[in-house]
Amino acid sequence: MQTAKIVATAAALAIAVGLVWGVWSIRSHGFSAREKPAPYETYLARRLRSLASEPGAKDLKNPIEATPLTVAEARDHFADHCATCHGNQGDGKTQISTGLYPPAPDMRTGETQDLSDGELFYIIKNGIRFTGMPGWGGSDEDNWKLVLFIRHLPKIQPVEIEFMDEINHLGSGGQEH
Amino acid sequence: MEQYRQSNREESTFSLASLHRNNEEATWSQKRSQKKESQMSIKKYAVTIVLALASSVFMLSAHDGDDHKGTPTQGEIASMAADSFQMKTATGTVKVSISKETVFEHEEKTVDKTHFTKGAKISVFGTKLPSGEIVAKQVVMGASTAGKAADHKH
Repeated sequence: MQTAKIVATAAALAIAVGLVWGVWSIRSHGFSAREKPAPYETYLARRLRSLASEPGAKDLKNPIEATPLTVAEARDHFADHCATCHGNQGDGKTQISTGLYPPAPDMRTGETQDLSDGELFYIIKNGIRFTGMPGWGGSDEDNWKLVLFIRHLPKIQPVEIEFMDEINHLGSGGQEH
Repeated sequence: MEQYRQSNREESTFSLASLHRNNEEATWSQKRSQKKESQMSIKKYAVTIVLALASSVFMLSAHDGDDHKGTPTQGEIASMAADSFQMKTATGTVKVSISKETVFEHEEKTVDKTHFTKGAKISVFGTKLPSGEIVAKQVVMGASTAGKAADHKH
């Protein structure tokens, strides 16, 4: 009984401290989207993203074969619709991304590359709630091709960046020039 | 006196009836105005829904992968083959692959590929491969080429 009282008091104290810290934090900083998400927020967001995918989405296999043409078609599609936030290199270093909360990830790293093809497809099609990533819908064929291009991003060539720049004038820095 | 009372009673009955009628008219007028407002709201909702649907269709069509033609590559046909041709550009000669899906246009009209011969000045819309080859979606010849190029910018 004594232990239960101590635990309840400690829990109430922790909640009170959390509330005070939360209120102080909001009042002193506001809700700026220009700040970097705290590690716990990143952790929670990734867990939620994982939970948000439809059952079975993770195991979906890409029906489109990666050929120079399919990857190039997806590159042009990416340049037109995705690069404004993700950048032509997929590094997320763009003017828009820096103002997003959370910012667009560096798609060349494990954060994105460790996701399965099915998860990437699901995210492109349905978006991620409470982030800047919209659900694009679109045709499954185009979305699967985009998955191929996301896999290709870590080894993208300068000539491919040039081709993307012809479409969106973003160069490699993600800012229109 | 009785006559006066009678007349007074009639008058008050009349004014009560008139008040009642006025009230009824007011209620009817209110109802009509409410009905009008509700019809307006329905119209507003309908317009909003139509606009939302139209913008969704626009967004979906804008997301169609086939629309990503990019900027055209301009040049002159150097040689023709069955499934490709060589095109001389300002920076060198490039191979242009063609398929059944490739559309050939001359002055806004779709023509057969045999219409295109060596020396023709053309603009090619398509997918550029890292090797330099272009997989053509559309090959345009004629005066409208510059206009076409502008049309295909996103």
